[in-house]
Amino acid sequence: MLDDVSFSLDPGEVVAITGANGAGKTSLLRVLSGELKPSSGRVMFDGNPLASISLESRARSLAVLPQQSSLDFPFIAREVMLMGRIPHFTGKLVDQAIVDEVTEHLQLGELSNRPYTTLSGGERQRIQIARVLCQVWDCLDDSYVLLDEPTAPLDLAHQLGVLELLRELSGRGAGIMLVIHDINLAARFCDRMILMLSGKVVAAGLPTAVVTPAYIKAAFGVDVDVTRTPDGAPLIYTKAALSVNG
Amino acid sequence: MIALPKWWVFSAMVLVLVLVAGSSLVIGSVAISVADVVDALFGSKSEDMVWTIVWEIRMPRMLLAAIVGAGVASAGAAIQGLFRNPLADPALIGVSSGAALFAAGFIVLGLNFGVFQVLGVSGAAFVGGLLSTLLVLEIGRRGGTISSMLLAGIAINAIAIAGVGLFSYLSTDLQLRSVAFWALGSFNGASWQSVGIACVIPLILFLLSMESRRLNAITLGDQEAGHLGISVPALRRRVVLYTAIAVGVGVSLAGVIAFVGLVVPHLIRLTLSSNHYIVIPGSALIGAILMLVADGLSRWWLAPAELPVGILTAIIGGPFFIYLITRQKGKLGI
Repeated sequence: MLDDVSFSLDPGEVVAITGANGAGKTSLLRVLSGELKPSSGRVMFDGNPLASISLESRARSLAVLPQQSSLDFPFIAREVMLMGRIPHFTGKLVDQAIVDEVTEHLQLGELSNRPYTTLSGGERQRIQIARVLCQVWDCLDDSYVLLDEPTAPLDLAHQLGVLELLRELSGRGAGIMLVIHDINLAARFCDRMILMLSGKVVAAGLPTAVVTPAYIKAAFGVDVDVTRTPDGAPLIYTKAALSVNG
Repeated sequence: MIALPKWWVFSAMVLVLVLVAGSSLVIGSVAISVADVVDALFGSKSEDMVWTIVWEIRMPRMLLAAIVGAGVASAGAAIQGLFRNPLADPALIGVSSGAALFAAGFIVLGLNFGVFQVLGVSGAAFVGGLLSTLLVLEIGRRGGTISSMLLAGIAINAIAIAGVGLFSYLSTDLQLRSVAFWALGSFNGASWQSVGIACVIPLILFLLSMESRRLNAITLGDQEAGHLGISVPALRRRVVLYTAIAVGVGVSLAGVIAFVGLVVPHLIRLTLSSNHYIVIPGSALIGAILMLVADGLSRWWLAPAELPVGILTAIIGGPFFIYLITRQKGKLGI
């Protein structure tokens, strides 16, 4: 699935992975989180091989949001968020306070008191993101968060809300990596971008260096023009849509 | 969701349990008044018939029904969490049908020599339940996923039930009767000795409740539980083994009892909480209550004859389950 990928995630940065469906983005995430073992090469975590760190201590500084969640029990949403505290033994009071803070930061409000099974897809995703953030909330400067398409089911306002919060958390020291399909949003919110195709890295680096017509064409086979937002981030728009029938 | 404080609900359940347990000492084919039962309970030991019936027949029977009911219901709660499926049942891991197969084989083949004599029907049933569970675990391990284990359970169940059918077909009329009674469940044979053996179930309940935190995590998904620091294969092995022991002991002492392990945890999830810290002890209490009520009915309905208790749990549990399904549409998330 992955071929000769060399990669690092540093504290305090947000890295976006993007690429076509099946390009190996999720596989890369799963290798980094220790879920898949690479057939060759290795994953180092704070200078130690990831495989040598116990599941318990790994969970205390590495939180992961998989692409799909399979929770089918009518837990109260708040209880789902509390599950993020399972690796820690910080006590009920601290855990409740953390859940309250995350509820406020993600503007979950009343959502946190509803049964999870009655929530819509986007609402469930917000609760799952909240759960993952609860896991590292009290040790951000020593933590990494990997998220697989966290914003996919969210509306525009909540996509922005989540990305802004992730930026803020990276400012407090967390290393954050996410898979995301919206290239324009990724370019605005991330420090570095990685563009993948067929298990290989097509381009990696600053958004301005990665988001170019040539690389986008190489990774997606789509012709785009690139302009700039007022604050300097690259902004793509497609040309293909106009010539589809032609 | 019930708005009452949880401790209030739990106190009410304990109160109901005590009442139901008390009344099951009064119900029976021999009419004994409440006053006489109280007398026998708190008075000194005597040789009269009332004392003997209360202490030697009804008391062990009441205790056995309560313990087995609590064990089967809590095991069901844990298995549903483990399989992430509110419709899972302890029978899915093959323990009940494996036990039934070995018990039927024991009865029909008349294995009354050597090691078999020591085991007895109950011992054979327990060994059968444990073996079929280990088989399901091993097939599931080769398949790799939780669904392959579920499917393995279904296959092993079908094979074991075919085996029970074959033994029934080969049996004499007398053997058939005891196979049938055993396959439908009854607390008729309860004794202080069987209560003693059943005491392993409270120990298992304690161990299961220690897994509450991890069972909560695994409802999120295997990957998610792993990222929360939980070794999923080890948890799976422990919970399946605990369930096999709790249900295996129950089945070996009282036969196969349908529906309790499925309905009771469900009821708790829909009315109280999905949190296993509440689901496991709650299921134990309601399981004990339901089993005592079913056993009481089984003795009272056709008295002085007795109905197999498994028939009653299914008669009570089935319609109740249908009611829950239709009333709670959407909320179950199945």
